[in-house]
This record gives sequence, C-alpha cells and structure tokens, in this order.
Amino acid sequence: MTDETREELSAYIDNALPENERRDLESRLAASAELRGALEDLRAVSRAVRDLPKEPLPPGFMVRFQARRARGDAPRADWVFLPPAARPVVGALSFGVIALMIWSRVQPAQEQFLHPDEAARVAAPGNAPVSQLDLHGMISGTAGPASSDAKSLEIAGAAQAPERPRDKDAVLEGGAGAAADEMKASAKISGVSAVRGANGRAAGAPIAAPAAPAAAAAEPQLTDRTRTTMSEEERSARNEQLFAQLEGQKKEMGMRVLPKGEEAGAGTNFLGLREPPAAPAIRAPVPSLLKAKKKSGALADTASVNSLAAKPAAASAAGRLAPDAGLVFGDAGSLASSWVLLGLPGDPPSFDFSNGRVVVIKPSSTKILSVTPGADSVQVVFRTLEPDEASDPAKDRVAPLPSSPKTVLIYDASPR
Amino acid sequence: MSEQEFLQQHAVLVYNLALRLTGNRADAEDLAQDALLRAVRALPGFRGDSLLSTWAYRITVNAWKNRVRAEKRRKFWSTVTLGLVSGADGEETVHDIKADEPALDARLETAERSASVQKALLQLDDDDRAIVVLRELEERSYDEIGEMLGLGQGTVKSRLFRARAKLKTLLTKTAAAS
Repeated sequence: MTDETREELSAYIDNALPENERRDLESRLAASAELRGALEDLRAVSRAVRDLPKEPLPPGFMVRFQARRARGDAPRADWVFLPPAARPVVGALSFGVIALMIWSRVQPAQEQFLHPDEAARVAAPGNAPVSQLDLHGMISGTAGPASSDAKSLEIAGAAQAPERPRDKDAVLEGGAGAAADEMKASAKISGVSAVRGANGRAAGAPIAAPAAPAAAAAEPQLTDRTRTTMSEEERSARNEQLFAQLEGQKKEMGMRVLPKGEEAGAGTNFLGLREPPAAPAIRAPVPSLLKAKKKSGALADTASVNSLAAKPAAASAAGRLAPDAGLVFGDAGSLASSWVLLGLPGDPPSFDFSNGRVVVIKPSSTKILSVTPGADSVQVVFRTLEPDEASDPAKDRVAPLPSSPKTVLIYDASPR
Repeated sequence: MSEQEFLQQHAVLVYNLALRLTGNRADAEDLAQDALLRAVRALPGFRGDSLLSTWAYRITVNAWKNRVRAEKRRKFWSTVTLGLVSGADGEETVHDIKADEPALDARLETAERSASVQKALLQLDDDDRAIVVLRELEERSYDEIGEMLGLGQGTVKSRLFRARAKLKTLLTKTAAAS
C-alpha cells in the first residue's frame, strides 16, 4: 500500500475526496482487506482524538478575564526584542550603520600616491639631506613613464624663474654672473646634476639654500601613514604648503619650464641643459674637478658643469656628470614609494639601510658601474645598457651608498 | 452580536481549542484569555465573512502560533546566553509548551486513554497538532484549516494523514507498553 493510498484513506474518512476518487477508493476497499484494515486504523485514531473530553471553563476564568479587561491589559506580546512596528526602522538603521562601516573600510584612501614632489619630502628621513629634495625637484618633471620623454630641465644663467604650471616641465636656471655665462657658452651635453650631501656644506650652496633646512626642520615629520590618516582638508592644505615650498626652492634654483622641443637629451629621462658643456671627464673622476666644483659659484650644478667644462682634458673623457641624478633614500619605505612613482618594474631591492643609503638611478636602461667613496664625495657611475645587454633592472638601477654627508656625484659613462 | 453573547458562546470553544493546542490548563487559560481579548477588541470590525466560530478559532490559532514562535525565540536565546537568562547552572527556565503535565482527564474513567492521546498529540509538530485538533475536535474543513494556518488544501490533507499515521504509531506503542 502506497502513501498515496493511505492519504486517500485519510481524506476519505473526512469526506474530503472528490466523488470519482471516492467511488474508486470504495471499489478498492471492497476488494482489499488490507485497505479496510488500514481504514479502520485511521478511524480508530480519529475517534481517539475526538473522544477527548470537552472541558468546561476553569472556575473563575471569566472573572479573571474581565479583570484583565478592566485593567486594560493588552494581549501578551508575541515578540521578544522589538515590537513588529519598530522592526523596519531598527532594521534600516542597522543596515545603514553596517553599510557605513563597510564603506569606511573599503573606501580607497585618497591621495595615497603622492605627487613626486611630496613623495620626496615624505620619503626623506629626519636627517635626510635637504639637497635630496632639491634634487628630486629637479627631476620631478621626469617622474612617471607617461611623461618621461617630454621632461627635461634646463640650466640657464637667468636669475628669474617664471611661474609655471605644476605639471609642466621644469627648467633649472642656474646661478648668476660669470658662471652662468660660462655655462651658456659651453658645449651641449646630455645633462649635469649632482646630489648633495646632508651637511649642506658643499659648494654651490643654492641647492642647499639656507631657507630649505629651516623649513624642513620646522615641518612635522610625516610618514605615509600619517598622511593617509589626514583629513581631506589637512592633506590638501599640506599639499599646498609643500608645493609652495617646492616652488620657492625651484625658483631659487632657477628652474623653469622648458618649451617643448627644446629639451636636451630628448628621448631620455635625463635632465637637460640648454647649453650644456662638453663632456667632462668621468671614467675616473678627478678629485681636482670635485674640489674645483666645491670652490665654484653659488649654484652647485652650474659650478660642477663650469668646472668640468673648463678642463679640456676632461672633455675628452667618455663620461659626464649625469643631470638625471638620482634619489637618495634612507629607508625602505621611501625607496618603495618612489620606486612606484618612478614606474620602475618589479619590487625595489632590499638593502640594509642601517649601513648605507641607496641611490636610484632613474633612466630606464642603465647600469650602475661603480660606487666610489672619495675624500670629498661619493661618486656613482652608470652607463646606458646596450640593446642586447642583459640587465637586472632592480640591481642595475640601485646601489647602496655609505651613509655620508659627502656630496654624491652621479656620472653617466654611456658612450655618446 | 454583543460582547457578552460572543463570550458566552465561544469562550468554552476557544478554551478547549487552546487546551488541546497547549496541552496544559495554565497555558490554555492564558492563551484563551489572550485570544478572547483580541477577539473582543476586534469584534466591532467583524464583517461576517466567515462563521464567528471560525473567526474566533483563527484568532486563537494565530495567537498560539505567535506564542510558539516567541517561545522558540526565548528558548534559543536562553540557550545562547546560558546562565545569563536561565539559572546559573544553565538549566532551562523557559516553559516548555509540550511539557507532560498531569493528565487532563485523570478524574474520568477514560483518564488513562485520554492522557495517552493528549500525550501523543503533544508529540506532533505544532502545525500537525493544530491540524489534527481543528479537524478532529472542531470538525473544521480542510479549507478552513488551511486558511487558519496559512496552508494549502493539499498540504493540510497530506499533513493530516501524516499526523494520523504518527498518532497511530504512538498510541500503538503506548498500548503495547501498558
């Protein structure tokens, strides 16, 4: 006997079967003793329940009921925590709070990627040489792969630095007087630059302008973490402040926008000189050149160029000071953030920053040849890789430097 | 119909329905009074779409279903919070509506049989028990039962059969044990 048949039997005793089904079942009942037995079982169960006695109301039931009515008692609440009417409101509020919490967690932090100018400041440790910022400012226009080709700097003799849009290319206008004239007269090179030491004592003081260290000292130490926890307004104000300071420094350095098409070293990321001098000596940097640079005029780069250009013997050498310069970092966070900003592939290499700093050479296809601590400076020599030359981008662009207040000179030894 | 007339005609019906649904007199009286309070309040709005008794039964069944749900929630939270809601030893304090209380018909000649049936009824699922009670004791049609419990007619039919089969098994075991 199937459950379907049993269900029909159950409905049959309730007179709930349609007429045709009832007749069909009755014919089967007449033919099957088993079906009749099952029907009797169901009827017995039904009778057992129906035979439960009806009870009268308990004594005092109506009195207690009327007493409840008189007290105005409401029927017992069927809810445990919230009345049904309040549930939609509480539910909506709960949803809103949860949504707000989720949104606050998943909301992308704004301005996590700092402007290169700010990144240099943020990346600079407390004892970082001020010249780092200057240097970074010099190459800020070259940061990022998208703008690499069109960016260049120009060293000129003019003292004024016209206002320029923030994202435009920069022009470094050199120191005043004879130094600038001498530089203008010199032959073109792909560029010149120098990263200066922390002491700011190096010759060519304009890069390490007196105002800059004071400003840096007055500024609170900011890290990437503190910047991301700033409010929108604080971050914006801070950005404006940093930008204004940087603009001041650039103006002091004589940087300005280089008109498109005039950039020297087009196709590279190197800083350009409007009238760069002839290639100076580089394979074995001559201490006398460095000394001469230190003794030269107010602008370090200009002084370097002038000094080098003034040495005919040096001009025949294969190397030259690399204007592209590099960034000197004192901690892994600064290196990592600038690594990203510069669009370098892969992860930055890890160094023991307790023993030395790191120089990142920005040109994309370059190789560091040597890092030579000298008496007055640390010389970093690199060259452009040959097209078929294998390269480890991370290692070839980065080299550890001993922590030193010495001037850091970066030379491009690429064949011209 | 006045309130007084309504109470005179339906209080006993409501109480007996509550008694079979809850299984004990204390809960039955509480449930019946709740249902009657709701019914009296709603009586002016009764439009006569159904029999007044069916309407009163529906109110009683709804009140009971709400109570069952609330009791289940209380049980759940008392279980979750352990000693905070219940006793320090975590003992259950929520009253079990299926508690096996003294036989309702202990003073009657058929006391033992009635007690067995009532005990078997309390072992049914809540909805199944309601279906059996409404069908066997109140002689409601499948349509009426389905309307009161929010079930389809086919569901009422199949669940009634299932409940009867389970009752038969339980009563057979009781008879064999005795």
